[in-house]
Amino acid sequence: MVVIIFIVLILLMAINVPIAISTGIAAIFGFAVVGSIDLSVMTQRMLMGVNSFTLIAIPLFILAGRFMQLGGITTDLINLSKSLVGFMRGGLAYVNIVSSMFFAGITGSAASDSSSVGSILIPAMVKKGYDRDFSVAVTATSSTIGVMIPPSIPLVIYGVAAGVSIGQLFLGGIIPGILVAVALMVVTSVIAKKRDYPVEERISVKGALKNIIRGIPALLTIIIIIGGIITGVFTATEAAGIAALYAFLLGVFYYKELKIKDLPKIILDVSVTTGMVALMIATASALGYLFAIQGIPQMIADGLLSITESSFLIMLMITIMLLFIGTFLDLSPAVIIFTPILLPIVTELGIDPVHFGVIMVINLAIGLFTPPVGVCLFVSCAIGQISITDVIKAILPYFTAMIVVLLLITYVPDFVMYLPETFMR
Amino acid sequence: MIDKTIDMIYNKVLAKIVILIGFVMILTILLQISARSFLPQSFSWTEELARLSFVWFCLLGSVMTLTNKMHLGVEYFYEKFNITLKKMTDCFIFLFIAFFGAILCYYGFLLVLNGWDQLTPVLRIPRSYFYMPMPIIGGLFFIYSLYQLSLSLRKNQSEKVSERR
Amino acid sequence: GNNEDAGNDTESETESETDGSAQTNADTENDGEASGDEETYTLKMASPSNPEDTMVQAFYHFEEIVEDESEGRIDVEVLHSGQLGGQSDYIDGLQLGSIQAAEITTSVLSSLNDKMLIFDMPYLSNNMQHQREVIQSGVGDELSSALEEQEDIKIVGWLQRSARNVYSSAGPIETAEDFEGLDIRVMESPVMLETMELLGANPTPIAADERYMALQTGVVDAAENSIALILTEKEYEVTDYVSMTNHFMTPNTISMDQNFFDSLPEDLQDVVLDAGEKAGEFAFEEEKSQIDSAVTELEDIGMEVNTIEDTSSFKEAVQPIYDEYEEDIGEDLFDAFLENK
Ligand code: NA
Ligand code: NA
Repeated sequence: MVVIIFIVLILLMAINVPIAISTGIAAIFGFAVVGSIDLSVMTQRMLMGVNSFTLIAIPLFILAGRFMQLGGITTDLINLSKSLVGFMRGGLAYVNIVSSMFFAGITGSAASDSSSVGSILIPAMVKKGYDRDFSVAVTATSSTIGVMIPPSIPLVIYGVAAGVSIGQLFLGGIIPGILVAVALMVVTSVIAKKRDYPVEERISVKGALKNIIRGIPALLTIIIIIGGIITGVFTATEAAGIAALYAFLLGVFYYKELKIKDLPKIILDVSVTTGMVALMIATASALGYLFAIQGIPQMIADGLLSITESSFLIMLMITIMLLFIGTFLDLSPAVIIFTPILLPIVTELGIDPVHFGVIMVINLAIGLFTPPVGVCLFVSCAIGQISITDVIKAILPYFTAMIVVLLLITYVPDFVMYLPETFMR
Repeated sequence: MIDKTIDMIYNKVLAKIVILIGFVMILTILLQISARSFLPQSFSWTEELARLSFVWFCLLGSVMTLTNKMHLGVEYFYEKFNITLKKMTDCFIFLFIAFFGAILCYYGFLLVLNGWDQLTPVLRIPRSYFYMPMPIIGGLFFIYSLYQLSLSLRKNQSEKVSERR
Repeated sequence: GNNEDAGNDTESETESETDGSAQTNADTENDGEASGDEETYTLKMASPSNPEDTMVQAFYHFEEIVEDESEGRIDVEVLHSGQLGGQSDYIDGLQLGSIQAAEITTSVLSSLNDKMLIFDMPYLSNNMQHQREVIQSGVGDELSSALEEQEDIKIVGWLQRSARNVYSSAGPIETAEDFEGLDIRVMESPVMLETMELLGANPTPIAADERYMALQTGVVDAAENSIALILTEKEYEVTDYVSMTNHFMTPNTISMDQNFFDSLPEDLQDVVLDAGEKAGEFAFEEEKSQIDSAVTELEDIGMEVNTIEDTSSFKEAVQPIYDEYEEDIGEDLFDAFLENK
């Protein structure tokens, strides 16, 4: 019966019914037909899915990012990256990756990373003679670092679903985020040499210094967030509030691009983005409840544990399963639906919930640049004016690099757990 | 006439309400931090008020997401459809959204009725204030998607289709 | 009460057998000796607590008795660890019929009826035995009827919790004076906040999953909870003193959908009530024995545990809260506790 719910979900999504609505209709079908449960319970579960203090961090992080972007931070971060890595062969591709890494420190989503960094760098790269599919591929893949390096909306959602400290999750995402950047740069270096991509002009020391002075205050956001949470001064939500306030002050007084009268429009903007995530969380929560009441988590756990008891193999199966899920389900609903199903299994294997959260988010983030459902891929392709089918080949080497990093952090927990264990245990 | 009313409801009234609630939410959080940091006693009600305003903000926001055509969808297969098929699909999509909205509206309303004599722990207000966005956004989804459906049926221009993100 | 922390256990050992055995209980097939022509019922019960917790253990006990005595005509499913949300969600679940029973503390039930606040009153119960006697003296039935009339919820069992105690890094608490200026984390409950204020402390409401951090970093010096939780949440790592203040003692209930209960034939209603009674006994014995073992274990770890002989200074300090709530709760309920001493 549960299979039918997934079929309904996939059919609706396939014809471009918004993901949140598809999930909602699948839930309606599941409650009414499969579970024979009053649909008021479904609406109650939807509501309770978003009724969380911690989730308030999401609009606040988005708000902070908006304030920064209005202050012209994207250009500043790209210039800063140019000063650092522009001189290498295929300079703009490295700049793309490094900017994404910096940008990750002020934004919590990957899509906003693709659109901000991509809208400047894809046209610039194409103009300089980089292949179009390559430029789109490097943008789409590197923008997923946005959900690894804090702040991260998916990690907040996981933290809420799993009852795990957001601070520890944020710390856990840092090293994997940097590893992904390094892996993507390694792939880039091979391709850039083979295709003899151009280098950027060297930037004078004075110019570089200027870029650093413009870029550094924005990068301090991550220090405020992490510092505030580690020292226990703020909760994640409060840290997000402080980050928004800081970004606001920075925009008004330092970059001087932000006007008080712009505030209503910005808040409305944030409500549109938050609303997108929130409706997905709400409907996915309802679906998750239905699965729980039908005993699905226990069924899957028993199924997996009956195949093998080796934690190595079970983690491999879970990894493959999540990669598959990530191709057709967006990150947030996937986290909401599958955390309650998988977490009991992995904790039984002795895997730390913080470790698992980072693995899960990075795994599902790979789905952000794989068709058919991949928001970073959509955004980057739209900017690069190229069809999704035409970039698949260019994505493949980066995809492989990400899988390597994923396996590395799955089987060597220290990559994830070192920072949280050092600073928060 | 109807176009104006819809524009009025969704782009003026609803937008203003969302902005107002957004301000309340942000200020409540900032108040909570300041109280914790600078005052000897923190307020017990800030957490619940922030949550209440967030629930309203993000759910009413999801209606704004709809009117801005920003709800994430899977365009991979859709892009491969021809114009006629795309148009037909669009009508189905609006019908599905309307159906979803109708269910939320009706059953959300029952939920609100049910929660009326249950009080929240701190503010001691009926839990229904938390549930109320459900029927409201259900109704707003329903009306807006039917309106869009009628628009796309009325206008037979093909560019209308390509405008959908 | 203190089940706010369900699902936080991060330390389970690889392939540990003990955790698994409790969980699979939920799926145990009933012996199926029932004759085919009798109607069978499914009883889904939700709990926010982990399988190791007394409350879920009591649920399993309930399950066993019901399935056994009904000869398989009632199939009980225990959905633990907050799979179906938190306690206030269960109220909707019961009223809308998606679940048939749930673990709900009286603090949460007070959102439906002010009378339930009686158990939030500090120092009104002398000890678990006293509370048990008062509940059995008719107070339990009275409160259940109040909920049945207005809300279609029936209390079929009382699962008592041991009292909450203060643990801190700021030294032991002997008298009310030691509360003066103490930064203490409390739950989001007006009564609990006010009680701490009356004792002279600075209460700060902090979410349960931020509590460990708040203690570690000194945002608060102290917290309060049933002491078994100091062990399960490893909060002894960030505190040094446990003071047996016994200030709050809020019981849990097995709350049941009244319509479901009424739909059962009379003999099965008796089975359910009998099992609820026995689950209550089980929880009572279990919680009581846990106090002593927790104290021993905490002392072994190096915590300083101080028992308080004379609690009169606390009782005196919190008196105003009785007066404040007397009208809402009803004098008769206060009397039931005070006369039973
Ligand atoms: Na980020
Ligand atoms: Na990028």
